[in-house]
Amino acid sequence: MTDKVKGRSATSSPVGEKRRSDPSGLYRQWFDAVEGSLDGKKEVTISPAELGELWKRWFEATIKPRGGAKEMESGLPGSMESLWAEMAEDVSAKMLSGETLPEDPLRFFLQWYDDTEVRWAKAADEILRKDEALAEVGHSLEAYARSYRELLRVSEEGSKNLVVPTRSDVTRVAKLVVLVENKVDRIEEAFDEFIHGDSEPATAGALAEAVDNLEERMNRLEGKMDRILAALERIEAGGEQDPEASPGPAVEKDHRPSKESSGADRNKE
Amino acid sequence: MVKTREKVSSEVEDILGKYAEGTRIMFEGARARTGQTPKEIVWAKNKAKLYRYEPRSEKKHPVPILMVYALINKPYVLDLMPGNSLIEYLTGQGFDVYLLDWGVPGDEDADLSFEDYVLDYMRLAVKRILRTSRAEEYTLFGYCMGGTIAAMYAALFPEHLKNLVLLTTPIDFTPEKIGLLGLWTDKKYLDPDLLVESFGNVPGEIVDNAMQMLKPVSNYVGAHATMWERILEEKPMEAWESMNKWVKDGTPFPGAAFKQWIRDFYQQNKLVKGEIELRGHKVDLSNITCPLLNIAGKQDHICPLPQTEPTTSLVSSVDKEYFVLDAGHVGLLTGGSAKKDLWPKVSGWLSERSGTRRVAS
Repeated sequence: MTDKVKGRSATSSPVGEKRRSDPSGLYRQWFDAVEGSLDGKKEVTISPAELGELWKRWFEATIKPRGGAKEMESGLPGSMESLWAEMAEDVSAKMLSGETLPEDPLRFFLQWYDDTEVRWAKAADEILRKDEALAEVGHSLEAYARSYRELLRVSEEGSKNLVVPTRSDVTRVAKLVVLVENKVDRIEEAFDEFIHGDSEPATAGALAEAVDNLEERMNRLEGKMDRILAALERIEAGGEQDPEASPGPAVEKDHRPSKESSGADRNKE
Repeated sequence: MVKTREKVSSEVEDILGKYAEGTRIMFEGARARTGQTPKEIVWAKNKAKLYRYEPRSEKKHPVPILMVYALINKPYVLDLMPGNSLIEYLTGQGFDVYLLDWGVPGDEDADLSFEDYVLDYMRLAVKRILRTSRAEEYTLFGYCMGGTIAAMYAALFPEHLKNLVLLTTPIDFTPEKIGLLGLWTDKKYLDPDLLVESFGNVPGEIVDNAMQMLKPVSNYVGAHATMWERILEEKPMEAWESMNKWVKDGTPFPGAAFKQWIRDFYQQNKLVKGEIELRGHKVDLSNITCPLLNIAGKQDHICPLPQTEPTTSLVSSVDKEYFVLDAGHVGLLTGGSAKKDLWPKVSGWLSERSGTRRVAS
């Protein structure tokens, strides 16, 4: 297979766009080999040395150009960049020193992740604690929030012009529904309390207050009645009309309701 | 080493099948049936629902348990999947378990605050469970922010409360104690008003990403590395899929509550100072006198140990225990070590404290 693979790589190694996405033709080779094995047309054999050679080429293809592109990737924090290079070299050396080489790229990735996870996590944590990173995250979130708000505003304006219900219209209606639900909940709760007797203290208190109010009003009413009766008696007796007993401002003045009693109560009386 | 064409062909087919499965999960998201312990809704208010779980064995403990979860993410992490569910385990141990699910808030709920959740929702839910279970007392079990809500409720309404269990519950928000979250929520970098003005409710994705960025390598890369490892080794995927589904299944954080959470808790640390006021009611944790089980995880990076530890000294309970496990925020609750450590601990602690007379029918 190796010869065929190498031959294909040499002859069909793409240029231009294809070269950028698969510069050494490695992925092409892998897919071709898979395709061949599925078709059953090709004899597929591979030795560990050949596999090692493939991995070496993969490293060279994916890691070395990265080192060369350092300047282009100046956005990546320096510690990450050096960590990447350092770990790539470590892993490369380890993999090529004759240790077991996973045939599957995913298994290779998993092994690599297991070996390097702790160092990556530590580096990431250090970066996330830096003032610059915190400020950057804060600014990004702020920019996102502001642009979202602006987008929402524009979309609301557009919907209004098209006489289409906006999101805030729907929210307003939903709020009304929630308010109605809350009222129903309160009624339900009151019924529950009534049925299960949970509200006994509150009801007793309210009842006592209502009875007190009623008593006070009755007392005032009785007072008025007494005066009216007294006045009538005097009239019957032929005496002069008692100005205090007559309906009008004077009566109101003398029998002003207490501070607790409201104007409404007076009118009712 | 020479492989026959047939062998290579079958190996390639096998590996392609595994690649296809992994790719499907990565693009479509994890699929799993979660929250399967049988339950019924016994009360609902707005989006919130109160579930009562069907007992799996004879009821041994008359004191019902009310579980309260955070306002972010969904509470089915407490009932992840059959065989990996704290709720299933407790119902199997003869407990009467309720779960208060806050639901997914809509735009119309952006004004919901901790006042609403603690003074209205919680109060009504507690009334309902006492009535439904015909009990005079109950146990309150809060997880994460749900624990903070539970602690505030317990401080304001200590009557009828038999036990309080707080699982990885943030109480002390002193910036030096809360790690990376303390830095991110610093007022220099985070303005909760702007987020709420813009979004109403803070989108679940923002909160999820913030949580995952606390450990970006293990959350973004490690989680998928584990997935591929399990696929390649042909291990069962249900547990991984259900957990991954939950991690990405965040709910929006109601705007008003988010502002309080960031400003009053993270930025001003008002709870331990006794400065939290809910509709004029001051939350004083020393009002808590019932038995307390305060559980924390050594490896918890969302709610680190120093954030949970002071709770034990802030309450006035005589019977109190601070129980630390060598686990993370979620690992403590689910999986093999949870079955071995946390679940029996909770069950055992509650069994000793859940005997009381029931209300006569």
